[in-house]
Amino acid sequence: MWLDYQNDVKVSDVELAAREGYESVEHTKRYTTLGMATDQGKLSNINGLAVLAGALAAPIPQVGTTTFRPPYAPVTLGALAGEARDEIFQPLRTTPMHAWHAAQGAWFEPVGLWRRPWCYPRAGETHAEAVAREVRNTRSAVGLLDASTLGKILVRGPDAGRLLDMLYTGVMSTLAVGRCRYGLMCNEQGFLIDDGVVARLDDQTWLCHTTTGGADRIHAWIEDWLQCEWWDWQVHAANLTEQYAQVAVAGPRARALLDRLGGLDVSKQALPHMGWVQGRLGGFEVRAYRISFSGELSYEIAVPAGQGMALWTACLTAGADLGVMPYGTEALHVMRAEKGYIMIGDETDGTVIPQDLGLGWAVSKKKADFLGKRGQERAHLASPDRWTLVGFETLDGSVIPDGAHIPDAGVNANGQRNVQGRVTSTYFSPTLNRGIAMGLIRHGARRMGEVVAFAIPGKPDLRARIVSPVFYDPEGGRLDA
Amino acid sequence: MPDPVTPLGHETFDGFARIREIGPLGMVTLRAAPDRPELAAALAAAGGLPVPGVRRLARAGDRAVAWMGPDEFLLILPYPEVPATLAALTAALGAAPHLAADMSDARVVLAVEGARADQVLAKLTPADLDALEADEIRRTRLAQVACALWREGDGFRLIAFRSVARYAMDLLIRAAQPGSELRGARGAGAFPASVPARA
Repeated sequence: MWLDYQNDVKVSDVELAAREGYESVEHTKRYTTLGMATDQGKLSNINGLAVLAGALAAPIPQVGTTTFRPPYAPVTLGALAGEARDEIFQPLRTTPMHAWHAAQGAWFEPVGLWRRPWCYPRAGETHAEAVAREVRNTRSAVGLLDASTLGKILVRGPDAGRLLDMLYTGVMSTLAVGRCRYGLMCNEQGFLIDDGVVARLDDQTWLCHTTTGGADRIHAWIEDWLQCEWWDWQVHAANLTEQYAQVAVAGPRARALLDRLGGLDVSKQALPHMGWVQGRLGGFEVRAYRISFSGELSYEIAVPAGQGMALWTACLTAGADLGVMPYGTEALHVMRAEKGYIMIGDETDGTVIPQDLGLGWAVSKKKADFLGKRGQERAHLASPDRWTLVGFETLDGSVIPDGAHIPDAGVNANGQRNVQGRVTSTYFSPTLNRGIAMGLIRHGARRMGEVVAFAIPGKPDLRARIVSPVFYDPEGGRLDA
Repeated sequence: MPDPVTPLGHETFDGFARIREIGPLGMVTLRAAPDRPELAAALAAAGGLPVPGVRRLARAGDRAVAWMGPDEFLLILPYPEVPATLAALTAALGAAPHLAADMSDARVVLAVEGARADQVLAKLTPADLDALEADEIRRTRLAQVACALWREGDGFRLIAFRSVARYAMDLLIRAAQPGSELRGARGAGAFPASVPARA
């Protein structure tokens, strides 16, 4: 006969406890789990005590009671939920320009706890149309992106270069002051965990940009290594992500826009691609980084967060007759895919190494050690049969569905169809007016021109040609303008 | 340079305690080994501040320095004085390994004031406010976000990251709603004694 409906305790269990010698009610409770569920015995304990008393041939009061805890007495659902409801169900992180984005009717997407504009649809526009317009405008005129959410970790000290050479797969210690370098971070197993541009600020100081979602995680990762492994190295790190608002000004007219703000020489000579300068731009104290995730001539302008909205407004005003428009994260993603730039979390999933993505050039062969080096030497990761990054061009120009797999001949031990690759990013490219995709496929780099099929229900005829993942401006002339 | 904009435009709320966004407030994050003599010299040069003890907030005039960790300190000072103070810190620290960074714009600064200010915070933070001393700082959490708080006047100062300023303010507004006071007077413990710990 059931006694405790929550913990499945039967009368026979309590009687067995008594026979086994668990005469104390507290011992019987622990032996049987009687009364230990969330009702704390409200449904079962009185009966349970009576059964135990019967088994021990003792009066019920002599058996005693067990300790019962909340929520034995009723607790409201409100007390359990606490403050977490409605607008404060979850903290949402917003940038200093968020109110402007919202007033423009931006469609937001969650990036971690951040809310970032995905696109800025205009009246009568679908989201896809808005994205296409934002891409075309950035490629032909100039666009603004709120890049404030990107992680910014300051690393300083006599051993800062040594630390960064361990954290990144490439060499950061040799970076010249005033220059930027793209870097990859791997975990000890060799798998990619983050990427971003590092700027050398002065002899002892580097500023490491991380992905938006990676800022806190990478800061904690750095502290972990510094506190637990390299505690005697003379270097400190601080997460400055929220101190700065950052605006990407990208497009062929980006320089003209900044020249109108005035005060800072942003010419190719004074500020070449992958350089940075500090100075006064249009009355703002800024740091201007000449870096590009869109493939266009591009600057990222950083100011203290309290000036972010003023800088954004100044850029819109200065660029009004240059055709300036904000662009959202989807236009950013489309443009980076057109350029064949990888995205952590799209091209990577925790099983991908830099070499899979054609990023072997960013992995040092000279350094004695770095996080991930030994992992990448393991047979499976060094195998020539790994899936590697390619581009896909559909034969009919359509867009391949996200996450599509490329089946292979035969079946595996479980009778499932073999797979030789998968699509990691897929978009309609407004620039090329066709579907483009990136993906990983076995022996990818050796299979240029080959046509493959996908396992997509309802689309048995979909075919794509394997091409270079760089669809747009492979010479890089546009970003080096 | 345009005047800095605070994240909440100095929003206020009058409930059973008063909530105000204040600022901008100058904040400098300083990391250095606590036993280096250059650290003491640098803090002295930055407005006559001492090296604070564990979890202490030491004040000198309109400035203060707080202990944030074994090798991390937070200088609190008037906003316009940050650049000169950073220069003084850097000069005094010299070759001693250190990191000094302006974090004034990275946070929202809130005042929770009034005789029942502790009840507002008691709903949102696990920190034992009755045990919080006048010269103490707690790094803790406010519901789901990180914060630091200390006593100021008849209430508390609270700092949290700028991106969650709206969330922090909304939390405090909900917690300070008139009629939602906790039973029991301040000092006697905010929670009623009638609920036995082991019912």
